[in-house]
Amino acid sequence: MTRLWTTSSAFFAYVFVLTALALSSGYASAQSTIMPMQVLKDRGNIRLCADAEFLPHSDSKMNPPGFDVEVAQAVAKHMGLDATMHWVVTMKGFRALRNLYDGECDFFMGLPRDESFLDEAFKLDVTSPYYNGGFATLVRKDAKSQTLTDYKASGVGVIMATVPDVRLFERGYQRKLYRSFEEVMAAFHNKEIDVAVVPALEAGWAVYKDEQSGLRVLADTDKAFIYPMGFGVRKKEKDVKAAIDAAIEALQKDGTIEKIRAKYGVPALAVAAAGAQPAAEAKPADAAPAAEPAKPKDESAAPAAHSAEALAADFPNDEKTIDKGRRLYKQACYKCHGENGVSGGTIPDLRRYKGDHYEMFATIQSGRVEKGMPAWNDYLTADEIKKIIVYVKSLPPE
Amino acid sequence: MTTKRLLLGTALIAATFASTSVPALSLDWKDVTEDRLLNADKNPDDWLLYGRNYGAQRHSPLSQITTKNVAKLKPAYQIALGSLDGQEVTPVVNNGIMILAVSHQYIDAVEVATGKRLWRYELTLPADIDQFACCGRVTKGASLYGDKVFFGTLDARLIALNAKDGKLVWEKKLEDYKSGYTITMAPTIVKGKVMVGFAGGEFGITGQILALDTETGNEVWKTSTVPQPGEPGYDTWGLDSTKYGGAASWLTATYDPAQNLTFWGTGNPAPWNAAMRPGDNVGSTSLLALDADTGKKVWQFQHVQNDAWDWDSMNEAVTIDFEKDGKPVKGVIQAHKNGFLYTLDRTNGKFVQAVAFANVDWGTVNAQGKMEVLPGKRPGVGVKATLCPSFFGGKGWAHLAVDPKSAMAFIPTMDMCVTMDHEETSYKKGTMYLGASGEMTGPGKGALTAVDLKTNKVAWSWPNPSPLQAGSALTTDGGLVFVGTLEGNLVALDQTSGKELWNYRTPSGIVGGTISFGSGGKQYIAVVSGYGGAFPLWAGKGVPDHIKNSVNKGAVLNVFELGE
Repeated sequence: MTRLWTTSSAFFAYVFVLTALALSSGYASAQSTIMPMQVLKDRGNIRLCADAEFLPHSDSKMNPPGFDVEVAQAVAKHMGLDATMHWVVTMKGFRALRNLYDGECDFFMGLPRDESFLDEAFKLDVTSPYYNGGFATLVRKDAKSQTLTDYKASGVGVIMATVPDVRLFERGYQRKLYRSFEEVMAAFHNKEIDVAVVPALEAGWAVYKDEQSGLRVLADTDKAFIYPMGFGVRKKEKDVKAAIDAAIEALQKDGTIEKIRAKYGVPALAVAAAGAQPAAEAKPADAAPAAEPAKPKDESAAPAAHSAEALAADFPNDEKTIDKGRRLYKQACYKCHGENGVSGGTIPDLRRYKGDHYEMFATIQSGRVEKGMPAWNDYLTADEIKKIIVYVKSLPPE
Repeated sequence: MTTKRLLLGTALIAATFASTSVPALSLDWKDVTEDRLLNADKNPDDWLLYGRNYGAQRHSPLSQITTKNVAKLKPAYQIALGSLDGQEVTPVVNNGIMILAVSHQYIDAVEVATGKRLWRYELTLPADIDQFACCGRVTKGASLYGDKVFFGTLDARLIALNAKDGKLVWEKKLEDYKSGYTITMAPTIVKGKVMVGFAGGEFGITGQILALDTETGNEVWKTSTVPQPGEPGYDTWGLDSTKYGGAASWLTATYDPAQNLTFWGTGNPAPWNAAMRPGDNVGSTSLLALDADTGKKVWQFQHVQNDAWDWDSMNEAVTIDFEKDGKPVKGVIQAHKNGFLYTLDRTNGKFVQAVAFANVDWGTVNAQGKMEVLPGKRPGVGVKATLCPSFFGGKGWAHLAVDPKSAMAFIPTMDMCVTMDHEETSYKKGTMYLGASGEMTGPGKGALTAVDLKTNKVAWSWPNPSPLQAGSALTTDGGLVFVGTLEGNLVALDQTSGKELWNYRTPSGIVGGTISFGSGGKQYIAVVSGYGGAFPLWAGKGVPDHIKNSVNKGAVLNVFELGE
């Protein structure tokens, strides 16, 4: 299922119509087979839907079985069940989920806890994450720079229609487009590129299994490229989800998942220091937050609910901060949004901004480039952005 | 084999069609020679230069449309151009073909008699360009020379297109846009050299003026507006402030062939905080006279010493000859942001006269041409000053027009006041370098104001409910003066009385130049409407509600002719 997501997750964010269309066909044939925990226990096994040929995620030859399969086996074992396999083709995208809805299997591996994804897959729920999936920077070890931003002008390899394709374009990067991960690897081989932003697991696996690759994976990546990944389960089966959640928590604590991860070179994706995030600071990938689904695009920065204490800690609202924020506003924002946030009418008036501090943070960081709002993450630090937000939020209303 | 032959045949047919359609235009393209440019006033049908002639007088010798019949003026056609950016362009017209830059999206060639598009060149900009442009994706236009069209892009490239088919001939990257260097001006072209300056005075650039060979794009000369170590005036920039000193020369220059001088106004010194650059800051807020062949500074005149108000001297330096007290004046005039119309002797840069043309409360310009500022009107660090005009100026970059026979200047003006103060700032690449705050005291107004250069007095003033910030004026030999407003109105006034004779509301606000040209024996008036640019971005409280509430974006080419 990861394949579905890695290749088409840009669509989850942008093309709701298409995904809804794909789902409606699934809906027609869906059966309401209820498989509560008791049924699984009576049966003695839990069935996993996984791709037959998609290492490092899964492989029907079981040599090796793949990261997702081994985690599923450990989870099943923790639940006192046997894991059996139902092989599917994830290239079929949302159609592959029918296997789950139709009861061919009980869980699907490697689905993003992403709100836009769940909004569309309304019969689906996703458990706590067992790792941070997404996109990592793959760089030639002997390249002149090991920092992604240095390649803004010279070009970064991406797979077409993936999240990095869209995000890097928005931020003014030159991109070199490829159709598949294999094409990206060939481009490294032919020295067409020094750096690429590609699906993290494939990148980690490629480097892990070939010591001669001359490439390395940077665990630090952009916040927009990190997606916490869990197991997909049927939404009605809340007790199954709870049991899997408990198993994941235990397996994270006792180091089982970490060990499996090492076997497949799965990188511990974390937010790069320079593009730091506000509230939910980078956590180790194997302890990805169980709290809230990551939201798409701008909102990915922040959990949905913030305590007053968290807000005060992230955005200290004192005079000094406001003044510093005002000065930074003059440097970065004033030329479009106007003096003291008073718009002249052609650009959004910030005093009418409806989002919270965290949403504003995400927007400033990644911009709305198609509307002329720059992505500021290369020019302003997270701390500077926070100060600007404190200042803007302090402006008197119209 | 058969398929191959079939394909070959198709290709041949296509090639034949292509070669028949292109020459149709190439026959019409008349080379824009130096001689035609020098004698622009003798070719009434054309509008070959940005300011119509080398002196940028914006005066059309056409006289079919007059004060008597202008009421019959009506649209010949209106064409949506497909852009939501501000349209600050002054189109140029050569022998019935209009060359039109649609912001930084397209350069179009349009047959003026019919509105038919002959070719279109699509421009591309880097995705992150908006961060480095102070005032939106604006351009003043493209320029012509020989068989080529020249255009400066927002990301600081200069391109040359084949005027016959719009194909790229050469392209040069001139500066790093990520350091804030952008090009918004229509290039100045003299004797086979295409010259440009850069915008970016708000990003801590240093003003540069370049001349490139029109055929090859190779650099011929380069002059820095800010003095370099060893140059006179370098010591007028305290605290090592020349490095990010601004003084951007961001509007099209004028040219005096008799002296072979080009005239370039320079912008504000950077940052706006004057305390960070103690001294006069020679080279900034000045008029520079550069030798057209070498770029050498022949003379310069500084209007504002140690500018504290963002009062650029970028304004077009219009050349005009007239008599004052019975003596001939070889004048170069600039309607300055500080609200005074300056006349200098263009042969030596000596001050002749100045007169206030807008609401000015900060002081006056004395008989030596120096500003005398009243107490409390100079902002500083921790010192607030409320004054008129604002940093938008008593005149913005909307160009004035003159009538060379009557020696009258018609100035689009602004009445808008500001409260300003300064503060410490530090240079940060990719962000603005200001060190100042300035809030408008209320909604601005405007006027088209006529000044008689011979007497150095205001003759009349036609009021408008919004500032005439960016719509450039046009005079004609029909006794008319035209100007576009932010409301979107194109207005025709009587040159002698200032009386409004005609008014047409175009689909969007006008921030570009009105022109006149002839084709097939008929006189046309044209303007591109399309609201945007600096005013709505920077003016905040200065933007009148009726503009905020009823003017929408959207570029349209409006061409007018006399009706029955």
